[in-house]
Amino acid sequence: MGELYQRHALGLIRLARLMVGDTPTAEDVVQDAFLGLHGKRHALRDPGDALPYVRSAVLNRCRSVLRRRSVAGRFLPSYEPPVWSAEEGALQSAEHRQVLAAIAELPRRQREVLALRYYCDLPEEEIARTLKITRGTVSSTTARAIASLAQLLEKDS
Amino acid sequence: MTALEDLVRDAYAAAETCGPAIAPPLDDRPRRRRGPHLRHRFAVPVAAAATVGLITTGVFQLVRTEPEPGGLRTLSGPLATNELWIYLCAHSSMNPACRGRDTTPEDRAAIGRSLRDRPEVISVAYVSPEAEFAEFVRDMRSRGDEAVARGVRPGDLPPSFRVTVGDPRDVPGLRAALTGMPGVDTVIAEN
Repeated sequence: MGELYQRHALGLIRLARLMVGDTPTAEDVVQDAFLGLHGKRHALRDPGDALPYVRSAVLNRCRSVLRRRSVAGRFLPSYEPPVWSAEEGALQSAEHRQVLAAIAELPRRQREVLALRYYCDLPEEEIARTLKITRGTVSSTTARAIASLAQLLEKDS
Repeated sequence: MTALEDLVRDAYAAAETCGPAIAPPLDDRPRRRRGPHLRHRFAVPVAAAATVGLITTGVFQLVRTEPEPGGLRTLSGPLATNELWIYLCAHSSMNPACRGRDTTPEDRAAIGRSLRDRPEVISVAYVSPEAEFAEFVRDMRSRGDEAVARGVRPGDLPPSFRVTVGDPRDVPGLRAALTGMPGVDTVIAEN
């Protein structure tokens, strides 16, 4: 567990950050996912299974966060501005910010596929395993995401 | 690969540069604004174990980024492929086999003996939790990671054995032999 955390926590936090938009929530999501491993000893026994498991767990928790935000957002204090927003100001390049903001408008599944493919550089098979969908779905979802992204960016420009 | 795909890749890479540089320990950082969704059922018992993960990450980053030619035994020296770090169980260990207990003196002695008895092993050094802590804090401060140094407390780091073997090809076998021994939490062989 210690080794898994040491090797992959940072990468997973960055992945989660792309999904939820802010570092504190991303850190919580990843820590929570690792804590969830506590009860999954089978995953720990076979290290080959542990990373896909924890990656799926991170994405599942990101979904929960986003779902709760969308339902309860109006009644709760706002979370930190997402990294792709203009007010966050961490991203120097306006073009990169525009791309990330457009990605944030895509449906959740498309955002997950994009992040796993173009950020984590995972092969299609691994993406399919992580999201528990078929390779065909990965491929078609990616194509749809890129097409939608092109439209969104064209509209903005 | 289309231009748009390249752009997506670049944007993700840019987002990474303003992200965290190091994974945090679970509970050793100031509370920030959080959503209402957080449940840390095991936060307290595993906080220190996660700190260990952080620390090991920090140590390996240090090793990778600041090699010092000739140094083999220090945390800031290069980690040779013929070296293993054997972390022992501590009350904060996440490994279920540790049962949340510190390694007993008997188990520790048995691990040390079995290491020294192996012909492929050249040297064995025991590093106490206090020594690990002092060395870690010093190294973090020296590279400007004051926040990380402050977040660690004495006792957060488990004791370890640092083992050197003559032939790097012996590392996987030794690692397999040690993993699962009573009192052993994690065996790390970093290439």
